[in-house]
Amino acid sequence: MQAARALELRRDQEAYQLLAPAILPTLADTTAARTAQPHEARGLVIFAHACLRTMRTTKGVQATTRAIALDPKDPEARWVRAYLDQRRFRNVAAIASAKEAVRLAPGDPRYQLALGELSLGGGMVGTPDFAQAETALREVLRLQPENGRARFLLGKTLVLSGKHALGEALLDSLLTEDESAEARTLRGLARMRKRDFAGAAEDFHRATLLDPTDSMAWFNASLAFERQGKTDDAAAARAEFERSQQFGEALHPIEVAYHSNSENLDAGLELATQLRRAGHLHQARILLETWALDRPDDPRASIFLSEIAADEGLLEPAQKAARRALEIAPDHPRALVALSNALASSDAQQAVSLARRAVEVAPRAAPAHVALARRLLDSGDAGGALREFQLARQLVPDDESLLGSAGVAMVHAGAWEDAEPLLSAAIAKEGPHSEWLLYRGLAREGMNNTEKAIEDLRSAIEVDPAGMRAYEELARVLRSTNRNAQADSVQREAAKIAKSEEEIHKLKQMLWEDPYNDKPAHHLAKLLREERRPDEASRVLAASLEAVQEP
Amino acid sequence: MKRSMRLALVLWFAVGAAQAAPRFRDVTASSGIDFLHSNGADGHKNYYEVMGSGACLLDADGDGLLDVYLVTCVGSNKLYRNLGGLRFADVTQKSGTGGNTGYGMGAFAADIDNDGDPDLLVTNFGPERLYLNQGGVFREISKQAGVGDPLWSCGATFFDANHDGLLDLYVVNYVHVARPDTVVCKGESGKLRLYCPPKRYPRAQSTYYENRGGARFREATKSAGLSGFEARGLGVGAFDYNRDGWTDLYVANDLDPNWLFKNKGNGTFEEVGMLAGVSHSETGVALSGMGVAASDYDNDGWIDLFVTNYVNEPNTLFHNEGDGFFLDVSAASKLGPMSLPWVGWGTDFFDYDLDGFDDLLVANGHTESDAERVDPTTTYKQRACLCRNRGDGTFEDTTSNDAPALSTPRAGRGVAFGDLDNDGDPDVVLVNQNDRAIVLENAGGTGNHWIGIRTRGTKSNRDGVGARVEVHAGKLHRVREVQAGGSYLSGNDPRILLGLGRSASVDSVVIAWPSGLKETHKGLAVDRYHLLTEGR
Repeated sequence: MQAARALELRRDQEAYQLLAPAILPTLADTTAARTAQPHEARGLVIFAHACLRTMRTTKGVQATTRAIALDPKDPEARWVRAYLDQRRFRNVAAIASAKEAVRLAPGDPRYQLALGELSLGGGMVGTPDFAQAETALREVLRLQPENGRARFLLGKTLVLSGKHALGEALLDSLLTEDESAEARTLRGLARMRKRDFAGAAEDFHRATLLDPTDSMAWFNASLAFERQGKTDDAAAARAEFERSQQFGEALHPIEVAYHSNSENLDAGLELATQLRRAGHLHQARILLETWALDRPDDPRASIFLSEIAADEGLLEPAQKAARRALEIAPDHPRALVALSNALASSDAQQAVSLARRAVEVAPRAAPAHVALARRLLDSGDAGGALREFQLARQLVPDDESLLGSAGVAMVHAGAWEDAEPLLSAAIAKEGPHSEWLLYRGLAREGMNNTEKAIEDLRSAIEVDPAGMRAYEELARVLRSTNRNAQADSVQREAAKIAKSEEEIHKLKQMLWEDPYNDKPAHHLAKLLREERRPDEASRVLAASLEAVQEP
Repeated sequence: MKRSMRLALVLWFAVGAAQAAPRFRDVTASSGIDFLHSNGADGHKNYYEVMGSGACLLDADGDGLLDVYLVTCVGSNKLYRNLGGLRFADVTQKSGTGGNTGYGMGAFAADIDNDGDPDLLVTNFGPERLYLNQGGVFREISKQAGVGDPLWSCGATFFDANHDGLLDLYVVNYVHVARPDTVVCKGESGKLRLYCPPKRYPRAQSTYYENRGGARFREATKSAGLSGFEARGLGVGAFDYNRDGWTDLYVANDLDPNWLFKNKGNGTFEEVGMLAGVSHSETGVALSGMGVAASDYDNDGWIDLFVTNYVNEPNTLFHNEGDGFFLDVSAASKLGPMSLPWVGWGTDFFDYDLDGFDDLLVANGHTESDAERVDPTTTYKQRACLCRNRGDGTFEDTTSNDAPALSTPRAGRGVAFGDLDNDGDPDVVLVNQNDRAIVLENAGGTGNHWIGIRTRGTKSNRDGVGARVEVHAGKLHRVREVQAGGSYLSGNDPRILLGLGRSASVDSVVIAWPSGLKETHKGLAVDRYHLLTEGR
């Protein structure tokens, strides 16, 4: 049927929407439950699977309950139910469902995979069974030797059960082709156990780039650094560990609350925020798209989606989502800011007008002032921009990023001596930031400190190799000091980057439209590595792997 | 049947029977130790009912035989005098250790006044009690001694923190709970009352007492740098982790990071747990630390650490790397994965088969008396685990072969280890919640050799607590420190008992005393105990 096909093609929201009108009204209807016919089970299972993929956990549970009652011998219903129970942290029930699916269809690798994964446990209820996990996962690999997820999970099982040499070998092969925070952390653990602290530290570092909230990686990074005598790095890792622990402690009840009742929009939006913070953009996006569809009267999900798309540099989807939000709530300040940001490079006038409206509507919202400040800077009104940045700083005096923004405005206004210390303070507090380095370079040039200016512009390029403006300014400053050969080289580099950026943008667009196709992801990662952006490359691969390996 | 075949069959059965004979025999029934623990649970689910209680082995009357002190929450703790031949008699009333001792948790023995007999500390839900031993009769001196705060005390250890020859005391306090408990927790259905998780209760500050001599102590937590550390503390072990000659402290906390207090050598301590790698599991989780054991399980000369934890949490084995750091080897040693189904409590390293490698025993039992109704994959009563050290860094579960009596599920808590019959192998006493204590005799018979050392300090504290004992026998090098605390709520035989495997002689025994004196003894015979006095 159409919905089944849509699910196959990973058009999960479409699959859901095809079945929802017929199924939703019956889920809460006890009469419908009593009179349901066995042939309806199939539709319920497809619907439940779509719910699983689109994070509509509660509806999925209801649908599988009905499906299993109608057809107790359907392994797929059990399989979907297993993953839904996992989402709800009901590990004992999840394993029972997976076991039943395997019993009903022992030759289906999907069910063995589920059993293997769920046997690894997690949480206070239900003991991990490493032997069971290993048996199930080896069976998957016997049936499907190239199953990446099974390879990863077997690697995880082996590491956690103490067979870390074997586990490390599996994870090695996985990480040559793909990227994953968890795989990095587990391999790091295996390396720690064989006292390869340098190798372990490298893995934990990459893991935390992909998932800054990975407390296991931070914790072990601190130990690995200590063992190498790198006490400063160890102390920094410990501080991040504490932050990530607090994040984890805050996230867990949100996840439990949401998946116990996924009709709760507030919990859903909170979960999306935390997922985004943890670098799980794909999951955050699915959740927000679900809410945008299920609550067409609430603009918040669309606003979040716009912000995520803008973060990825995808301005058209960002505009589309922001406009949708404004159709629902025309004067929503955050939606106005989102659309203003998304239009900044294509329709400056409208962008300014939207930002002004946001400030009018919400004069105490610092992001509105910041958005307006940026639009004014772009349009050459440095004085106006500075005023808005200062207003924002008054509203959020602890936000150090506004220091940097104020410095940028001052450079636009030609106030080099005032700008330089502000930008230096912002960089010292927040770390290297391409825009601030660029503008500090310009400020230093204004103060006739050309060598320091060149240093800053080169650093800006290192932080953001795709930032065209830094190349242009660096070439100009080099020419002004008669270093023409160097300037030519910079300009050639910029031309090459500009060409790559076009292709990179196209691939990002493709991935946004179809996150389940890993070919563009690998191609994009390769390009990013060539552009000396290995961290971004890792993130692309990790996100793709997360999407592709969903059940 | 042909005669030769019959003979072969008889021999086969005989060999099989010899191989199948368990090492540990339950001798409780014949021992005279008829002790029934009670936590007074009435269905209200007061949190303090969950934790108790422990056992202590001490030679109370100085006759050379270890007596047994057993703690209960409700009712009277009991002292059983060892009559020899693994027979005991209840001497509680005569000894002065009976009466109302409080809602009992643990018991620990050490000679606090250096007069040659072990004194006794009992921790409680409520003020701890200190008993001075006066020739086999005990007198409670808590108030005069300056010991006893109203907090819920659990683990404790005596150790000489400042090398003044007197044993100081560290008492681990757990959480603040009202009596009766006012916090109410229920299961998912809202009907079943459950014990609340520990995070529902405020943390407590543990207490350090400095021994001033004359059986008097001074509360010195702040001046020692040990204040400002509030946590849900349960177990503690004292040992010299970095071999600088000063005894350090390791505290197991429940769902809080564990602490390693490094003794700075000037009477003060510095917390270095996370730095050293012993604060969390290797997955970065603060586990539910209960029991603590410290010994050199791999004979590399450095004291390692073992901590028991909750169900679905691995018991953790930290290997001392010798450079101030530890490495979590729980998974590689197999101890972590094998412990996941159980809640672990009392434990210690002991060489039960005398093969030269320290083994482990862990008493298990859930905290929740209705555990099966909450999680069908677990049970309230659980079997203990006898974990044999294979000598290659891994351990194997030998319970069913070597200690089938431990396979019976119980709500295990404290375990005390010691040679009750002085036959050169360690026996075991376990306290089980709301159940009988059990006495397990180590039947020996491995043919392996051993050596026993009893330290007597002269400049150092009289028990020699904190002394590092190294035994060299050919290629075998074994190390132990004399301890007066550890496990969970329990105190062990103060003697060092080391298995030597097949080594029939000892090249030397080196003792590094807390006073700083280092002595080497040669020509000590195997298969017997030696009393080694400092300076003689």
